[in-house]
Amino acid sequence: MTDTDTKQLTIARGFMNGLRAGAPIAVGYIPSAMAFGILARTANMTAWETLFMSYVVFAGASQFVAVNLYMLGAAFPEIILATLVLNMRLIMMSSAISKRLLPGIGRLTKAWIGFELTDESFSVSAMRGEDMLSADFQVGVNFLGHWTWAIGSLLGGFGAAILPSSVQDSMGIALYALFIGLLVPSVRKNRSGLVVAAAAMALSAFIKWTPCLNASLNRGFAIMLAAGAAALFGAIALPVKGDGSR
Amino acid sequence: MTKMVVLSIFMMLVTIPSRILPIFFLSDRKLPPVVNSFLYYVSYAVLGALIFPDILTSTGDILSSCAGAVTALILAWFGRDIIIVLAGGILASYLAHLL
Repeated sequence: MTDTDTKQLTIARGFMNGLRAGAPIAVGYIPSAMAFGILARTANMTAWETLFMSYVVFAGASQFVAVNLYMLGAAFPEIILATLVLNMRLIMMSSAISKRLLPGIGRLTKAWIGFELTDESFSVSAMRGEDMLSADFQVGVNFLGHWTWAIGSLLGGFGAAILPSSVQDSMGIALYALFIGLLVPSVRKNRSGLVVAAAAMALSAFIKWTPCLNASLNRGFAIMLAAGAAALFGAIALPVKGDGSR
Repeated sequence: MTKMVVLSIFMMLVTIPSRILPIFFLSDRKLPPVVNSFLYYVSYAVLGALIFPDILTSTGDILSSCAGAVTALILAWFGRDIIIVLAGGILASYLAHLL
């Protein structure tokens, strides 16, 4: 086997491993993607516009907020600002994942990995057992989720109630079950991770249940504040030895 | 281009820097230990903040949300595969819905 053959095999294997790791994300996206499609249709968006928004924006919460604001008659700059603030939490995730990527990844690939980064793909990748992740793996993790999100919202937009509404409702738990499935096994082995996660939950609940805070902060920004404060607490109170990459 | 396409493009443009710039500028750089510790904890913190308390309202009613959450928690605790945790959580909240 030539060197090129071996290299291509490694890439294919990394991508396949990524696909497998990312498959649960795709399942979790189905209900919210379809719900978004239904909302978009209510706002008189065409199927093509819905597909386009889901593919290029690919940030669920901000899409729901944007279409809701649009229906309320909000001006575009207001919607764009809300999107910016809501998605700023991705800065923390992009920074954290940057420490877990193997060195020497090309600029275009880095840009693509970042473009497809979501709460869910970040969580799947960050909770992997291996120290460093390959670009192929990361691209694989995002692949199914991105397309499921786009096509699911398109189908929802056709009013295709493929799932009965009681099933659709119960599937609202899907992404949270995914997050639990990622967090719980890793904090079982990691006391300091557990402390930080619990602190973040407490802060997140505090913001949500304090009416004046909840009303003045959009939820994505609130999650960034809660998670940022908890991680900072961890960094100071329970510093990680070595280079901290893992 | 329709105005929703234009809006989508702007939404994409304001989201891209948050997603891409840190990967671009931090990945091959040495950072101070406290920053590395912070970034190490980000995943735990983000998952915690995303899960709670929003999970309580995820299915529209608190009973079925709790049924799904507790089932997912138990399955995850015993190290079941993610897809089983997902399926179990959905099934439990569906059954609680029927009650």
